[in-house]
Amino acid sequence: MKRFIGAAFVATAALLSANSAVAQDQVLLSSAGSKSGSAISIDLMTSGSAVGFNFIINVPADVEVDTSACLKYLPKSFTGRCAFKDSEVRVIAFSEQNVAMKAGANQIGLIRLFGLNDAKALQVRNVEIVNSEAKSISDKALIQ
Amino acid sequence: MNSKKFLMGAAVSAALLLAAPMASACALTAWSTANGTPIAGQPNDATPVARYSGVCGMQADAIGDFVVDETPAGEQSFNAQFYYYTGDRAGNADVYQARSASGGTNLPIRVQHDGTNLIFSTNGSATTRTVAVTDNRWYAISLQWLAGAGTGSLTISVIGAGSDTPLNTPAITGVSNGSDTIEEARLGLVAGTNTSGVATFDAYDSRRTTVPARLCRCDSNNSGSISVADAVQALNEFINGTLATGQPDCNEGGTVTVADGVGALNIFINNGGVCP
Repeated sequence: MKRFIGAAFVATAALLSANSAVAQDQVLLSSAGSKSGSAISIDLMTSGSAVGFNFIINVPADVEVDTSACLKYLPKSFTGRCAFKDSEVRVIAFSEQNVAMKAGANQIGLIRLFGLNDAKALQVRNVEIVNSEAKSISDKALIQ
Repeated sequence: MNSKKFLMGAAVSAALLLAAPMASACALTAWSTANGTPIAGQPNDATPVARYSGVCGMQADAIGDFVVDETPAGEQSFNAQFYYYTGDRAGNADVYQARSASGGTNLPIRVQHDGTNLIFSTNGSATTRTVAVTDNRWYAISLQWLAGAGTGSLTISVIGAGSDTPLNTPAITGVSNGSDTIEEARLGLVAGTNTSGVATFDAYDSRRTTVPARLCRCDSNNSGSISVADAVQALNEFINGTLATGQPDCNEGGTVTVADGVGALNIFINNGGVCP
């Protein structure tokens, strides 16, 4: 498991360096392979005003998903839920103190998919990132 | 509070309680008349008034505080919906009546709240329906009334207290009310007794043929679906006092708190953002 998480961190670190100046708030899903399945790192790239976000990942029908670490790195001031239901991974979180997440790349967590080796096979929809006034600031997601 | 007008053929009457963005700017002017001293207000007024939808609600403190809608015109088919906050009342009061012009004992629709139960009855039938409700919760009460010589009916729906499951209120059927008509509706503490507590109302809507839809619970921004924006909007009301214009009271508890944001979050997870 440590190796799995470490691999995901390496992927995130690479993305951090590639996105040192975040131009656009977006959800970022990136592959980080592991022996027992495909690990997907979930990151939120933000310009510093994101107070909440939600998105849904469509998962192919025969793929099993482990969401136990989905919100593992969510900031402590945030509350959220992540669940695998109806072949979808549904993710939602917001700051209970209405305080924005720090600017830059914020790793949110990891999901593991069994029976899928490429994150690019996933589809993301219902992306919404909102500011402290509940205004939508982005509906973008990127899969790498 | 929502103000709905249905001006086409199906319309019976307009809704109540004009909403306005400024504090203490709520009004009862959408109603034909107001009896007694019902209060139109919002949660951040000096005298806070709970609301379900929009920023305004109506509170009745004593028997005789009610509003009247006189736009129904001899209706023999009448559908109405309103939101009722049970509070912590004692005493058996009529909280809604749909009446003929003469009123009296001819009440095509009568809704009472005795502090524990909602009690529904209709002229022409000895049958009543009684359903227990929880204190300090919002309920959507939907009523469909039809006149008929032995074929009249009153269909009742009660949903609330943070649940989307209707309470058990079977329709009253086989009613002998063929000559009954509805010519006015009264909402508030219309009659009976009120020994303590207040009654609060919101989002009244009545129509001749179509049935008003229940409002989207947890839809703080009135977008028609549930997302993190609704959670943050509820949170923003709780933290900053910026009143949400939709239905932010997700758990229907009478006040908007962080729990309502979490409620929206749960609906997103369970329903994928579809209105419950």
